[in-house]
Amino acid sequence: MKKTFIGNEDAYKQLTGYLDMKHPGPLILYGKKGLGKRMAAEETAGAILGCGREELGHNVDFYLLDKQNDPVRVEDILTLLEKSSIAALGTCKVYLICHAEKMNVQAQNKLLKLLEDRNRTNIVILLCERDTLLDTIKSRCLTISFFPLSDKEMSSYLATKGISDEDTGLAGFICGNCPYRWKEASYYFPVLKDIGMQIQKISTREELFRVFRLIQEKDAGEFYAVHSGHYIEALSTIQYLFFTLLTVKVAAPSYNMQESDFGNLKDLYTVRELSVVCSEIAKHQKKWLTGAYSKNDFFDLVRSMVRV
Amino acid sequence: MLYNLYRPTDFSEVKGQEDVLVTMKRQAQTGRFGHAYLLAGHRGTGKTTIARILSKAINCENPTESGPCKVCQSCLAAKNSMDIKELDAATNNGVDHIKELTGQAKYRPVQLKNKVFIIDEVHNLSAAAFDVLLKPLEEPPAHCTFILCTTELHKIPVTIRSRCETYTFHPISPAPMKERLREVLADQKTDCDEDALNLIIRSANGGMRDALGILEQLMAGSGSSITAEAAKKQLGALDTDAILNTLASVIRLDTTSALSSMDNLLFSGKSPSLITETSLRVLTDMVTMKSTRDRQSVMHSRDYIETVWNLGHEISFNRLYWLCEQFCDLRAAIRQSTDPVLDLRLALIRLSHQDIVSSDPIKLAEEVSMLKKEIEQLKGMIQKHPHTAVQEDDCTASEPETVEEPSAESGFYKIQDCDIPFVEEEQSGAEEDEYAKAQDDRVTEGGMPPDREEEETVSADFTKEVPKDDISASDLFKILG
Repeated sequence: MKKTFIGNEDAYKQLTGYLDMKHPGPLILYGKKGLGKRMAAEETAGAILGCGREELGHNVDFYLLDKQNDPVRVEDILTLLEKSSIAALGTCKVYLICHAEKMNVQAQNKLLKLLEDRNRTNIVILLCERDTLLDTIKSRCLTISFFPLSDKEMSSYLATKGISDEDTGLAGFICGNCPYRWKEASYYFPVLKDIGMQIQKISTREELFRVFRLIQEKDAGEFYAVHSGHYIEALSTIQYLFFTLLTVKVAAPSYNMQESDFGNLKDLYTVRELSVVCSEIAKHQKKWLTGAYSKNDFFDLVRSMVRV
Repeated sequence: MLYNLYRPTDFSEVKGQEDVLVTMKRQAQTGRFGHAYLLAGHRGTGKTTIARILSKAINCENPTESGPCKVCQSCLAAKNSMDIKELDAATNNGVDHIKELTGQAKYRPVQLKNKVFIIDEVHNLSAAAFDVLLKPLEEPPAHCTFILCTTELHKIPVTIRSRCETYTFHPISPAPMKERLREVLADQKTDCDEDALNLIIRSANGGMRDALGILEQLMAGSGSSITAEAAKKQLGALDTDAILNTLASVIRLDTTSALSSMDNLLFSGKSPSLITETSLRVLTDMVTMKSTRDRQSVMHSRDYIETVWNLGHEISFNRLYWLCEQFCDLRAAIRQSTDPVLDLRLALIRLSHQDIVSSDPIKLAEEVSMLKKEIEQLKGMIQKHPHTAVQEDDCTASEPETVEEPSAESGFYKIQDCDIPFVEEEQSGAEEDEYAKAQDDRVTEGGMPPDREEEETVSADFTKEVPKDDISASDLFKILG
């Protein structure tokens, strides 16, 4: 099997071992978005079905379930089960379920029997970004974990993409050290970098309202409106500043930065306040993922950053 | 998968469920089986396996203590027989599915002597489906047996449970699990270190299927020889020494060291959830040892026990319990987190930085409870030390009910139930300065500044000479700090 992803040598070794098994069973590839799990899964499926990754779309024994941002429902799994009852053209069928963390409990329960009893001729590969699968599912599968790159590896990768040394910290943080997220992030990175620089220049906390364009009603340049398409990454930009300043203030060893690198921001927040702001931002990122988030929530976040 | 390949085919091959098998073996021996079974318990402990063995034993022409004989016509036909129906309640959980099933139960078996219906994951049935199942479970046809399997017994209605023989499957203990793994390893012609085997068993959490799955994963990565090092690496197992170092830094409020050792763990590929889980386990061991005051209350290596015991003495019980709560919250938060590494680092800073810890409500509550304890101790000391007469008047330990004004004649200043003597002497300048300094110290520590006027009145009495056996004012203020 060809290694098509960066880093994660252990995961590649485990995948090779998995393909060497006489009867490979269900597989979970677990890790954050942008680590190459989809590429690895497709290479694995191709190796099992005896075709290349590019030919999977034409292979009748390959079934892809990719709901993007929608949850994986029971009906989707029932469709998959229906297909599994039809014999394979080749030796077996492979089902690739992307975003398996979005399967609700009922959908996961529907999968159980397929994973346990019919796994010889029906191989299920689940791609999962968060640990939300039932224990009964996990115990029936082989789990291979993908980890974010180290800061050094990510910096080297970003350097090959033309990012300067001073920007690799922020760029890596926005991507979560997941290299394949950079392509998407590169479109809005300059704007986010500019926001970061503006925040460093504030002399009072209340100026945050100005930076995020929250003073005028229905401002076209309002932070939330402009960045709602990549809101997690936008919040990560703010969090990068506060978290890095926090680690510098507590004298953490791995950051080669000084307090003076943060402009006036260093004088506006104590260690405790920085910790609270970082926790608040993380809470808002989680809330965003639930889908029940609005610009009022963003306003509350900025207010808490001012009032902390 | 190994767990399918090595699934037991009779009762003698099943490991770790002796309690459950006692009754079933007796039933197989006597040929007197129940009509409805409910098998409930932890995942991967043999529920479906025993259901299948039981279904064959019920139909076997010559059942033994081990269950089916595996050689008679019935045993050979049972594998693909339409008289043994296995239903997945997750997929077939509606009323119609159960009605169809119960409809089939009316007809006599075609091939075997009994019809057996195995309903797996039965907790997924709808309420209406459960209701449909009630009557057939209570009064099934003579040729019919129902076997229900579930991991969630609490979701099964009481009406169903009361109609079935319930067998609870416990997590499999290490000894039988090890025995089974050794058999599989021998059959697979694979070597495995004792430490690697112990690691597999610990990671399996009592589930045989999990253990075989982990073993398969290790065989995929390590080939025909599994070493402890390879197992630790592949399973991402944590060296507890690294976690102990991190926790020691947290307890000593050394944020720099805590973050440094945490980063080492993260960069070596250990997942934040594993780090959190292991930290919580260590803290729990610390709580256990601290509360029982017994090193033997935790089963682990001697070095580990010694280190955890010593570390436990560096931290108060309240703070230790608070740390456990924080790690519990962190464990839950990490599962849904968008950036578990960041959450873990933030938590470490919050738990180990002096400024943040000292302003935490729990920490403040701890200080209040310590102050309360000190006040109680003081009261006790004041009560114990008898108040004796200082000048001409004797001091008798009467029980005054009200606070009286100090009187030169009586020689006592009464505070609640205690009589504190005073001596008619001029207050010395040095002692006054000492008292004032003590008051200032209390103010700078964040306490409420005392009422100067009131204190001066009291201090004028206290600084007079007191009998040697009594507590002096300066002693009192030293205690109050």
